[in-house]
Amino acid sequence: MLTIRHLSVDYFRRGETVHAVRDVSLSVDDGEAVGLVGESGSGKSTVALAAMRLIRPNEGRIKSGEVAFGGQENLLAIPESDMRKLRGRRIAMIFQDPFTALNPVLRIREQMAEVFWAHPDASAPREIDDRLREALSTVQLDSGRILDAYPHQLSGGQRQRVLIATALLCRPDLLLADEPTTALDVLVQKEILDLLFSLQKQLRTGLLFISHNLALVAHYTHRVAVMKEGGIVETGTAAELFKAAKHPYTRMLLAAVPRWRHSS
Amino acid sequence: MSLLEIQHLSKSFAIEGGIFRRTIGAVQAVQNVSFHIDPGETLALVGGSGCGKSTIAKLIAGLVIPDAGTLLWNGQSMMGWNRRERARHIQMIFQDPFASLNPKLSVGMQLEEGVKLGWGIAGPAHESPKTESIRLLEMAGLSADAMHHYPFQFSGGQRQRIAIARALALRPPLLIADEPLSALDVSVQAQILALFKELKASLNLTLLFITHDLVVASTQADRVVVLQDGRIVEEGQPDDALEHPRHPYTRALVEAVPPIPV
Repeated sequence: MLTIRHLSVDYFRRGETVHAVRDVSLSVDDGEAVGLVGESGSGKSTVALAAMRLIRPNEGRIKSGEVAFGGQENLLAIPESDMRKLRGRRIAMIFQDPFTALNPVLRIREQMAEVFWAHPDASAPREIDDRLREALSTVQLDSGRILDAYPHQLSGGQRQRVLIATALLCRPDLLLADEPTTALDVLVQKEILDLLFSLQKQLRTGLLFISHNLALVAHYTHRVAVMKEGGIVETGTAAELFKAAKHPYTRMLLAAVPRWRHSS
Repeated sequence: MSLLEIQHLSKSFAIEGGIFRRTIGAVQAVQNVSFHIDPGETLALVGGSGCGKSTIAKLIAGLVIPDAGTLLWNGQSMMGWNRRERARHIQMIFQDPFASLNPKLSVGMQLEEGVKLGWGIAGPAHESPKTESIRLLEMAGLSADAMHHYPFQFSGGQRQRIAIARALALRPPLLIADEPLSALDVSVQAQILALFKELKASLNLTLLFITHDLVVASTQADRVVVLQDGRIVEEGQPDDALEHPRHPYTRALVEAVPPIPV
């Protein structure tokens, strides 16, 4: 469903050009969950931003490559107006920090409903309200309280649930989740990821799960790509990577995951 | 004798609301918590968000005043300590190293400031704060070049190393690390954990390690204390807590960390 071919992205930093992504190819099938692992600065977030065409022209540019999605030959070549129709409706994104992704001065109702301003297929306010309530109930939140709350009144886990509900409002075909639980503790992390991946299976959404934690990615996704310094160094199933990682970098990432002192 | 002993510590925070910010309720952040830390020991305080683990750290460091309870240092009450006394005995490292370093001072200036504070008025005549600062940086795995640079010029892991060097500048017997890994990549986390182990061995440091990850705690700690809603629910050896958790909350913490297939 999503096929990225030979994607290269440059950033401009203080007069210098940084090759953030170099010749990356990656695909996500219909309803499949794929993991993308790498350290900070490896370019993993840039791959997602480039696929959404969210790289600001003053910060960087997509140098080459193609992003095929759904019936579209190449998302990088279509007009921005067409891209806007896809964003939020067919491809949605969940970001790392649920606090900065939400507008602090708007109630949750207002910011969730914004999706429908851009995609006016459910016009009646009553109908919008019903859909918001339904979306919040799928992420196990009490819509009566949450809809009228401001972001600061919610916990980190609740905010991330709101973002998942918002991303799934239009039943997108593809979800890009960039470190969705890094700011949360292990208990909330498990809750959120269990929920995200059960919804993903239920709705048969394609999902690209981006994280720095290889153990976490391997636990939730079947196919995993490992990124280092802008390029993909290894791709394989989670089991293959754990059993016989070929690239030394993958082995280093695996060794970094803390284990029990007397693990069997 | 224990280095630090905490007896029946409690702290609640007022919830304010309404137009005039009246007190409308209270959160019991820490409820009748008692534990001790022996010299040279690493004790991990483990629990999810809001369990009270950071409040306990702040109570020990004197950043928050307890409602009830006693803090003893080598058997003597710490309640009369002033800020400088606390700073020389206890230093703290936080989750976000960027927020705990001064963005406008070079790394060297911040370290020298700490070294001078640790020495007091009569510092050792044969040593300069600068050489001591360089020694601290090297101990934390950085080179002497870092002295002239500013915090923004470093990566997250390097900044945490600077924060560790800064904390050790005062030669505190007790170091409190409050979620020191949360803002870092897994690979960098492993490096910082290794650094803590090295420092513990070379300086005979006593460490209070605060984390939400019981598996991380088990790689560092001699003992773990598990907290839920401001109370201690389990206390013991890390391996026991991982393999035979007695309390359901401890079990939930263990199961939340994805296992590594062998």
